[in-house]
Amino acid sequence: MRRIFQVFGGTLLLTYALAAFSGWEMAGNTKRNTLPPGARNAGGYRTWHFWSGGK
Amino acid sequence: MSARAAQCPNCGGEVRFRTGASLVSICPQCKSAVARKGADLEAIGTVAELVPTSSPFKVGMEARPQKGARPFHIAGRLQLSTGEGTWDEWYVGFTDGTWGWLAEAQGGFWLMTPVKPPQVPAYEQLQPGETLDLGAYGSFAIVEAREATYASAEGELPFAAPPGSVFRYADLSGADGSLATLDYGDGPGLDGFYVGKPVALESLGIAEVVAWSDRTVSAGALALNCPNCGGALQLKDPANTVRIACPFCGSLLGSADRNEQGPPSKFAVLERLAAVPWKAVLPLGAEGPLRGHKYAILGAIRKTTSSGGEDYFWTEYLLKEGKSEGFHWLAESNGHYTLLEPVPAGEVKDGPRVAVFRGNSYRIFSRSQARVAGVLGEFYWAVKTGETTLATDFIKPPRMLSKEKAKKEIAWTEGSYVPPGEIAAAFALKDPLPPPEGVGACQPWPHADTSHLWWRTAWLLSLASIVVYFLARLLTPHAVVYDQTFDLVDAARGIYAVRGSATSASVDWTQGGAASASTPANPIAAREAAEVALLAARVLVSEPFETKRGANLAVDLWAPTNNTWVQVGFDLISGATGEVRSFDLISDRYSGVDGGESWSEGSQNRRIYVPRIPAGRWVLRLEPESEAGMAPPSFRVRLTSGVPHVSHLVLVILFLLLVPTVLAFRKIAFEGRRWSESDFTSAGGERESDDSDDSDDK
Repeated sequence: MRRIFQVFGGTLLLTYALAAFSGWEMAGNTKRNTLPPGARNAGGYRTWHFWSGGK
Repeated sequence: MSARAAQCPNCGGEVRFRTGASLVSICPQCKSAVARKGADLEAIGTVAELVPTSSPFKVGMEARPQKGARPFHIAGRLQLSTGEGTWDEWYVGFTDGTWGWLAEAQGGFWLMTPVKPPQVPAYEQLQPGETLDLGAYGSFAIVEAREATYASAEGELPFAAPPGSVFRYADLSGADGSLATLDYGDGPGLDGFYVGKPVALESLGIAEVVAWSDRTVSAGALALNCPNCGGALQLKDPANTVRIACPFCGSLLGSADRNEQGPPSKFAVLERLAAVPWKAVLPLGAEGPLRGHKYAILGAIRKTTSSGGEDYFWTEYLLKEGKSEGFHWLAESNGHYTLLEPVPAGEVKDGPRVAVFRGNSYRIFSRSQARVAGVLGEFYWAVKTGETTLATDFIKPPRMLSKEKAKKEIAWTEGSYVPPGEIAAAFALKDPLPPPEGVGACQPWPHADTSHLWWRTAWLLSLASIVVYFLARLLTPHAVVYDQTFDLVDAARGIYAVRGSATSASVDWTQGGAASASTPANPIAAREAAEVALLAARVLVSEPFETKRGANLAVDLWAPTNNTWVQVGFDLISGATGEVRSFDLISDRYSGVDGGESWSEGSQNRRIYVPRIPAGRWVLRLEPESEAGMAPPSFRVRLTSGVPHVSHLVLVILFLLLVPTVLAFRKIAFEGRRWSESDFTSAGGERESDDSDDSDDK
């Protein structure tokens, strides 16, 4: 059992090291979206309704 | 060594005084005790026949101790009896002309020498268990205070009391393992004081000493039939056996002659029973190695105590240890076994809640009036049912320290828990022992041996994780990819602009840009258009910036909020793919004084980690919002790529400590089950009991 824990702990440490050095991040409370192709038109990022009313 | 020969005044036979300190020599022909009175000899009585014992010593033996003790010869033998048991004291003469006693009791041996008697209380004031301060000799615990009869003797003796005299004595135990005897003789004062140390039989250097297992054959009959049921009885220690409880019919056997001391020449029925009162789980007579000792199971005592209106039973097996010849005990309760051996009372510091033995503290677990409910097998003392002692157990799992106090003596034993499987293997039992019930008094927690290893592994890995975290912070190419401060340029409408910019694009856009030019004529539509225009006016769009590698992005918002707030909506827009990551951060700090106490809440700093931001060019769209007219004068946004996240470190450490923590909770539960069976709490407090009889006994 302790050997299993050592393997588990070692794997966890290795995974953490990879995450820390690579800058990996867990999925947080950010929303993902894709800007429609025409967003840069009609006032650009500033005015398009996606920004003012979509959130 | 020269010996002075003389004629016995009783029979004319030759008596010898080999040791200068000897005052009496027992005539080997007529058993007269011949005393030296100046130049004359006088017969002061006749000794009885010696009771055969299993002592390894004989008069005339020469001892060449290995180290630390002077060579000596055994000059005489004094046989004493309390009526419940008989033992030998061996009078020894050292090569330098001094003398002492080689004492033996319950398989232990002590080499004792006379010293100047200290000031001591009267015999009647001695209480077993109490401590005596003997000045320069140190403190001693009173182990036993009894009267013993000078039953018989052979060879020489250093005193001139007539055979049959009754001596009063007290055995004392010192803190350093020493033993002392206060010899009150038959008068009111102290006749002698002897101090000595325990000695191992094999260290005495006596060539003729025969092992116990060989001596038993010659010392008494190994086999006999029960005079009540005819059952075949096989004795393991016939030379010491005073009582036999027949395992077939339960009858108690002993000497029919009440005056006969020591092992009887013929066993008679003392108490006849129709059936065996109980059955011992372990086979009596079985032999086997256990914890480094070779044991023979001689007998078993069933004991009981009452608590809370219920009777509790346990069994104590009497074991004979093959090498030291000591008597040890194997206590069984609810299938849990504890192997115990006697320890010097003087080495135990007894307390109401804790007892300390050789530097280890044992917590009190139980205290009860124990009564002998039944016996089976062979015993070296006149055991009988109904005897009571005050039994107190102290524990330090897996070890136990046990005190048994009778009226005239006190005995301490110490030992450790033994799993039933180990018992079964030691005595080669065919059937497995019944599984234990509950948690034993000194049963170790099953993970006790490895618990610290679990914790050590967890801590080591946690420490390694912390090192990894700081190494990642130092070595990974995390970089600030955007850092900008925005100033409030229109307090009434909450509009910000990039610090240092001459004019605000937002202000321009809302005040005189294309939007105002296309204001609808419809009032409702115009109001909606104005709101949209205001929202749009608050929006800030950054210059494009670049992330060099795919990693997380730490986004920090700071604002000098003081009882105000500013919430910023973030849209992180990929210039290459149009991917958008949206989130909000709020800077809000409130403070004040309420009822004379200052308080504060919220924070001017907020951070969020945005996962998996690919390398490339990005634009940040910000939409600040605050309470009308109370917007903070500025706010700052900083984006850092590839930041090791400290919460990940915390999670890793929590995961690593999870298993040891679960084990710790299981241990707490285990200890709870153990102490639920105790008369005391784990802190040493006595539980309340509704058994008034029990408390009266105490």
